[in-house]
Amino acid sequence: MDKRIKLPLFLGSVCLIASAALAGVNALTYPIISQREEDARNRGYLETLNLESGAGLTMSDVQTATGDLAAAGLTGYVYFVNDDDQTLYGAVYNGETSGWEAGIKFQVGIAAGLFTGYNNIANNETSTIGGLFLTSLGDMIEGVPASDETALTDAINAYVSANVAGATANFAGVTRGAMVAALLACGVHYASLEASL
Amino acid sequence: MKKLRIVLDGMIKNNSTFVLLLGLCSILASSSTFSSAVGMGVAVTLVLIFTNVIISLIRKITPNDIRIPVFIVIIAAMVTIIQMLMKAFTPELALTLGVFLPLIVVNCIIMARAEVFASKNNPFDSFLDALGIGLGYILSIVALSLLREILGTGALRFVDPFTNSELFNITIFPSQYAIPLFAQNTGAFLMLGLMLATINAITAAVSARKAKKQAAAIPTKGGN
Repeated sequence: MDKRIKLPLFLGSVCLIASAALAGVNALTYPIISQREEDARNRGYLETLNLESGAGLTMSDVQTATGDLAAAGLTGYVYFVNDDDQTLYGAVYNGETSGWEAGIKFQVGIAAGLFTGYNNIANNETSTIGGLFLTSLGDMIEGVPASDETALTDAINAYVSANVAGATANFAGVTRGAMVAALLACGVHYASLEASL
Repeated sequence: MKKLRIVLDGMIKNNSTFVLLLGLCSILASSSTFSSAVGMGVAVTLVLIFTNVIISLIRKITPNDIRIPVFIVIIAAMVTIIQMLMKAFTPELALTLGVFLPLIVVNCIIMARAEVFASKNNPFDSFLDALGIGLGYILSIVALSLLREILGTGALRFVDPFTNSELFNITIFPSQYAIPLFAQNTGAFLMLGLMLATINAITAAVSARKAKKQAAAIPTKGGN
């Protein structure tokens, strides 16, 4: 057979077999990974608001994010209203954004205008760089006013300078930028949600 | 005996880390804890075994002109498969290894063994070679991680990658005497350098002793 046909044909066949193997393994693993993320997300609706149970509150259906919220990487949100007076108790935002790598899946809770918690569902960041930022983010933002950019930046800087030796530059990287933008969009949206209810 | 030799050569004589100095990036990055070191070691060994065997199986039908692209496709597919399986069954470990898990694709050891050994030998010998090199890699990364974790934290812990539960956590000495530098990235370079220097010093001393013995064994010419 002519080399010009044989070589691409062989390489193409190898690629095809490799693709089939990948598709097979993906069919096996994707449902497991998705289910775990879904479970983590469902648990996170209460945990990010520091709630033991949802007693006395009603949780809305998951609302799809649109506009600025969607542009900042948020996919949807739920909100909780007090059963007594139908006022807003808090909201939990679901997000999926990109840092150094794509696939940062997270939740952030806001109540009374303050960040209450952060749930790191999945990410592909390097554990000692972007991953370290994401796992520490809950400690950085808890109690910080949600729509105040200066307060949020100060809180992150204060945590970094107190706890992160030698990795400050990495902390100020792409992951931080993406997450700060997403958190601020949540804060702005929460303020409008509070006003509308 | 010859088969055992292949495994032992891969582990010791051709040790990827301390002799060939290949694949050091993942060794340095994933040796901060004993748990992640074992995880990375097993992942690299599995990729090595599967790629070596597959490449050996198709070695007679692989056109020489495109053997490298074929090897790359096979290695990339195997690494992605291992990554997907780890994300599904050992999610915390996959998260800890992060970007260094997909970066196994560019690990020189795997391409080197495919080109040097698997493409020229039968599948069983290629399996043994991959096993030997893989065990040598595990040995190196575990040794480095043990020293780093113990000196850096004063303790040694191991987390079950499947359940994410702690299997053991042994305090070796009080943590206030630990040197956190060794648990950080800089400590990886320092510790690997110290280990290489020690191994080289021992190897040189052994070689010198052997040479001395051989010289003594050679009969000197008589005077008459």
